[in-house]
Amino acid sequence: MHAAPAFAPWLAAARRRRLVLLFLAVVPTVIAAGYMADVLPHKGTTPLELTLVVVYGLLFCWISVGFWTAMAGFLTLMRRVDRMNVAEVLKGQEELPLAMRTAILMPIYNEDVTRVMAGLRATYESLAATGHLAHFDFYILSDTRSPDVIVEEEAAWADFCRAANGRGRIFYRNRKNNIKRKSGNVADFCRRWGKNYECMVVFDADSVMTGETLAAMARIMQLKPKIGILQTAPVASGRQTLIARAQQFANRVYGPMFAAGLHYWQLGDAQYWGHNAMIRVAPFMEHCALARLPGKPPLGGDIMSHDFVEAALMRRAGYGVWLAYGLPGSYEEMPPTLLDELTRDRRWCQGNMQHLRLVTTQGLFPAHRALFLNGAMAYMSALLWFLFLILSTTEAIYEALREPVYFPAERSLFPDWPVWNPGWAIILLASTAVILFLPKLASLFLITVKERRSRRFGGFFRLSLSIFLEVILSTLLAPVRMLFHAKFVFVTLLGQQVTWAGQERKDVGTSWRDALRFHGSGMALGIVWGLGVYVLNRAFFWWLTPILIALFLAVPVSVFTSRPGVGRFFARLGLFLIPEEVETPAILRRVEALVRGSEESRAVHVTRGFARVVVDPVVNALHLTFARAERTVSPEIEAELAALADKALHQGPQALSLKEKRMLLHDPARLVTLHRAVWELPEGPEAGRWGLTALRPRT
Amino acid sequence: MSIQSGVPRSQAGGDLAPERTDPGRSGLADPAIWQVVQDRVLAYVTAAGVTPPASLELAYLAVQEAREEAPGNPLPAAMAALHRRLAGVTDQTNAAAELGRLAQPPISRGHMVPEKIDRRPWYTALVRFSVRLVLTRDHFYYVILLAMALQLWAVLRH
Repeated sequence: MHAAPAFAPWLAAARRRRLVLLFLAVVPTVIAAGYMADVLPHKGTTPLELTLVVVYGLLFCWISVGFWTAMAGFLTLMRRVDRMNVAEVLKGQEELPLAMRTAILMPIYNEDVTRVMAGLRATYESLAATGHLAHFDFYILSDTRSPDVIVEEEAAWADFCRAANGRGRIFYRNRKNNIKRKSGNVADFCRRWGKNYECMVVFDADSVMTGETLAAMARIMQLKPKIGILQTAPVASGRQTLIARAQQFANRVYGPMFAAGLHYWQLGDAQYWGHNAMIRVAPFMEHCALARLPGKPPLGGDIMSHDFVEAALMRRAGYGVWLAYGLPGSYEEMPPTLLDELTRDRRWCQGNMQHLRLVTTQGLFPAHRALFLNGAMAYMSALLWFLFLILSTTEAIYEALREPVYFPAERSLFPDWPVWNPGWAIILLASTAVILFLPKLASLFLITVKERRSRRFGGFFRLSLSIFLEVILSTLLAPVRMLFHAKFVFVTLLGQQVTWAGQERKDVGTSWRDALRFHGSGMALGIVWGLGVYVLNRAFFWWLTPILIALFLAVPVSVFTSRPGVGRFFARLGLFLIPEEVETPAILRRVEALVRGSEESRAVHVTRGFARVVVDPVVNALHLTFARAERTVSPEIEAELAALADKALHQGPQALSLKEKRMLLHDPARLVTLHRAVWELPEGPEAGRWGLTALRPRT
Repeated sequence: MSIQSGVPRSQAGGDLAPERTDPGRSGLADPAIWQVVQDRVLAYVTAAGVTPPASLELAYLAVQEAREEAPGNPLPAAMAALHRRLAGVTDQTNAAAELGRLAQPPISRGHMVPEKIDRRPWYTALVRFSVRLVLTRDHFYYVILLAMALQLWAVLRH
């Protein structure tokens, strides 16, 4: 079992701060709910109105927590000195020699190989430039199932090793059985090689970190042995589509304030976001292995959002989980389109909903129980909002259709006079708007007045205009996200689970057809809803217009915001600019250059994927060292494999299914035979299918 | 038609046989065939990363061997000869194989066993308490005493 954690000096401060947060969230919620009840015609006395008030209260509490987090961050950054900041430990220790070994892990699953390798290589080179490379090893931990991608990964790894002279320092492993997905992938590393390292840094496929940041994190871990996980606040950058640029902008403008605010409440009980974080390996191996949840997916089975649970378990074991919000040099990328974002959210939603089953787990700290609830609320709030809109529409239609009863059956001194006070409703709306939008103004103030960095966002005017446009865009997108998130929660509760698919990491726009397929039903709902309310209660219709317009415009907005050209147009206007675009850091420039260079060199190879391992002698020889030793198989399988190889030879790689390619890929002997046989094909269509007719000697 | 695994076609007698060239059109008289053989052999040595002039020499020897041994069907013979000769040459293929062997460091096996997650500690505590109550002698006596006290209280009340 876990050890009782020793008392840490930050715990008293954390307790005080969290009590204040509780007070600040609950008291205004009670007042706002009371106001809400007063706004309603029957003062919240009917069951429908009572439900409305309760749902409104929950939603208000939820956004209040966000608001007070932002305000805490604002005050922290205004003071500039934060004695609780974990990076403070580095003061005077900048030159501390590193005395521990760290593994940098890149778990990947059917990812864009070029981008993955470019990010990792830029990190490698940056680390080499600091002179600390000897303390770090790099692991590409592939869970990829696509045979075409596996071949490209192997070849790219070899290229990376050769180019960076990283032999014996850069490793590659493809897991044949990708049990427990990313968490299982990392656990597999820990079981095989974890004992060789004190710490590990977990990357996402789009992560990039500078050598200075990695060295600083290693020093912090060295100086503070009771830190189990050190999470950085990654900056989003590198995307071109409008929605991704708007999110990069929001992340860059409001992100630091929210991160400081989160740190203010959480201190050593912070979250682990699954990437761009340094983890102490020994306690991770001892305490953070994830058990399966009883029952079937989606709410049972493997834990999908493993990061939150790992942080809670690490904390339960007595190690702190800290957010190093002030550390620069940590980067990630945003999903390029709204549809990609929603696909990712579908996965996260299922994972976060699973956390509800862990809230009462024995030994967890209350802060992590709250984080589990908070994670689930990130999606359940959408369902609550949708419920709130449905209930308020029902109330509005009911009030419009029913005959008022001024003199109820029971004896009463005064008539029952339904009153609806629009003034109070406007006050309520205004206070909600303040909670939602004041943090944005606070960020503007911080950047322009306190930090004087507005020039790095395109100047004060463009920064202000970008914030205004970001508010418009998020207002347009919020109802669409609400509808999808509500659906995700609903279908998860109904027992539908998501499949594991790689994430789109390229700026590929959304087609009109896809947009219509995804948003068509929401658009139809908006039209029917709007028409119904317009006919039955016109006054209420105007209150609903922000929601209805957003739903009605969902298709064009989804397409328009997914276009890289539109994003670049806004960039040319100086809108949604972030410092990383105005003055791109060297490491990000290097990533771009490597991606460009790699794409140019890939044009030289006439074959890709599975065809490449069959045709290219170097890639073939490389793959054979990864393949399993030759096995004895049954005569039936032997015959099947022989028929497959024959089919491949004569019909080309295009004729093979993914499963067939995988079977051949895992049969080294037949791969050698196929390689030689393909090169012996006479000039003609069969050789052409393998790209041999395009191969001409370059001597 | 089947593949004999691990054995190249040219040595295995043509199980994975590409269509053979027409004997009537083959031979030294047909320069188009020899052009294909030359291109293919040179493309292979280039793809295998053999540096010139060794690559040219290898290609020449392979083509020469095919010319002597199988002028009717020179491509498989040339490729087979090339593979034989490449075995002793340091090229990128060998380097890749050597690199591939360093893809993973030696395994240093460790344990990572999930701890039991007790999601309903109150229920566990209740069960544990009940079991202890029955199984532990002291608790059993307490229960007897409690029952006697209750009985006494009920009697006195009446």
